[in-house]
Amino acid sequence: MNALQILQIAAIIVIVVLLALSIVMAEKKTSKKKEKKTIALIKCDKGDYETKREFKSGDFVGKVEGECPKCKGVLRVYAIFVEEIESHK
Amino acid sequence: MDGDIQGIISTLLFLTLFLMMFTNVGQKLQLMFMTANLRSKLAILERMLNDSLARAEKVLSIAGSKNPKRTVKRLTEFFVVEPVSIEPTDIIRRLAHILETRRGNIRRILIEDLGEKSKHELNNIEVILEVSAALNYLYKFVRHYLLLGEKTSNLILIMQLAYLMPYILRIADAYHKSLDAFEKGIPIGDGLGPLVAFKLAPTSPRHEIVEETVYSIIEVDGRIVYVVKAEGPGATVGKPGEAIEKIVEKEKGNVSRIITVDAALKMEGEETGAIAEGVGAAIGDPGPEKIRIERIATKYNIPVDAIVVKMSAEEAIQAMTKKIVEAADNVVEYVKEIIKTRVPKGGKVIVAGIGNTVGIV
Ligand SMILES: [Zn+2]
Repeated sequence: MNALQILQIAAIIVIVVLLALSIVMAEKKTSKKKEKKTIALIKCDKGDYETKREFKSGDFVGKVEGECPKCKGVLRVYAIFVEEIESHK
Repeated sequence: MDGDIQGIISTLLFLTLFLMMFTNVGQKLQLMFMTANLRSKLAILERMLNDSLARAEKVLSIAGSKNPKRTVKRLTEFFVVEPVSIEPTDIIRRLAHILETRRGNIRRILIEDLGEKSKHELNNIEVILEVSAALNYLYKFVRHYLLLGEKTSNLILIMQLAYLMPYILRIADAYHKSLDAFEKGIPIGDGLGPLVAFKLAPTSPRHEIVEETVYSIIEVDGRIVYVVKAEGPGATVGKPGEAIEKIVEKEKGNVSRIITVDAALKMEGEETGAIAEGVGAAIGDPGPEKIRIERIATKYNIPVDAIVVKMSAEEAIQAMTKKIVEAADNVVEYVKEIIKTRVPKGGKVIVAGIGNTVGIV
C-alpha cells in the first residue's frame, strides 16, 4: 500500500461519513413530534370556581357554560388554548 | 499493471476536477441538484395548497354552496390593485376605498353563492378562503421562479429560491396549520388584543359602534373605560380606528388616554409572550385604521399608549398557546396599572384590543 492509496481510502471514508451525517440530521428534524390538545378554561364570573375541559366544536371565549356549582353564578369560557403534551414514546 | 490503473485513475480524477473548476460543468451539476430539490419542495407546497382548497370547498358546500369549486377559484385568485403612490395626496382615502370595495365584493360573491348567512359564519369562510389564497400565491410564486430559472438556466435565480425555500415552507406550513383553528373557531395568537378586551369586560354588554366593531363600558377605580374590540366570535379584525374616532368625537375629545393592545412580531431569539410598552397606535392594518387613531389623537392632543405581546408569525396565525393566554392576563393588570397611574379619577380612557377576534366574543 502506498501513500496515494491510503489517501484515496481516507477520502472515501470522509465522504461516506459526511453523507451519513447529513441524512441523520435531516431525519432528526422531522421525527420530533408532540401531542397537542385544545383546552377550554371555564371560570365562574365571581372567580370562586375554575375548571378545564377539552375544546368542543362551537365553543368560544365568552360562551356561557351554565351555573357555578359553588355560588350559582354564571360559568363562562375564559380562554381557549393549545397545550403541548409530551408523548411517552 | 497495478501502477497503470492507478495512473489512469489519477489522470481521470485530475481531468474531472479540472473540468469542474474551469468550465461550467460544475455549475450545471449544481443547477440540476438544486432544481431537483426545489421540485420536491414544490410538490410539498402543492400538497398543502390542494388540501386547503379541498377544505375550503368542503366548508363552502356544508354552508350550502351551489358551486363550491367556482367560488373557491374566484376568491383565491381575487386581487387588489394598489393605489398610485407617487402622488401621495389622498392616498390613504383611496386605499381605504379600494379595501372597502374589496371587502364588499368578496362578501357579495359569497352571498350570491351561499344566500344570506350570519356575519360570523361568512367571516370564518372568508378567512379560510384568504388562507387558501395566500397558499395559492406562495405556490405560484415558487413555481414561477423555478420554471423561469430552468428555462433561462439562471443559477443565481435557482440558488436564491433554494435558499429562500426553507423560509417559504415555514410560512406555508403556518398558513396551512392555521386552517385547523379557523375551521373550528379556535382563537389564534393574533387574538391577544381581543382576549385582553374580553378579560377587561367579560360580562359587560357589547354595543356595536361601527361595522363589526363593538365597545363595552367598565369602571376601573373611578375611571370610565371604553373597551373596544372587533365583534366576535367570527373571524374579523373589525374597524378599531373608526370606532375610536367615533367614541372620541362622541365624548367631544374629552378622553384622557388611548391605550392600544396588539400582538407584535418577535425577533428570532425573543421570548414568546414577552410584554413591551411604547407609544403610538399598535395596529398592523395596511394604514387606514391606524391613521384614524393617529389623526383623532393629534386633533384632541390625546396621548396614545401601545402595549404589545411578542410572538412569531406562525404563532400569530395558529391556535393560541398557553403562553399567550398567560401574557393576556399580565397585560390586563398592566393596562389597569396604566389607567390608575396616568388617568385622573373620573377621567375617560379608551382601551382597544386590536387583532382577529376569532373564537372570542
Ligand atoms: Zn361561583
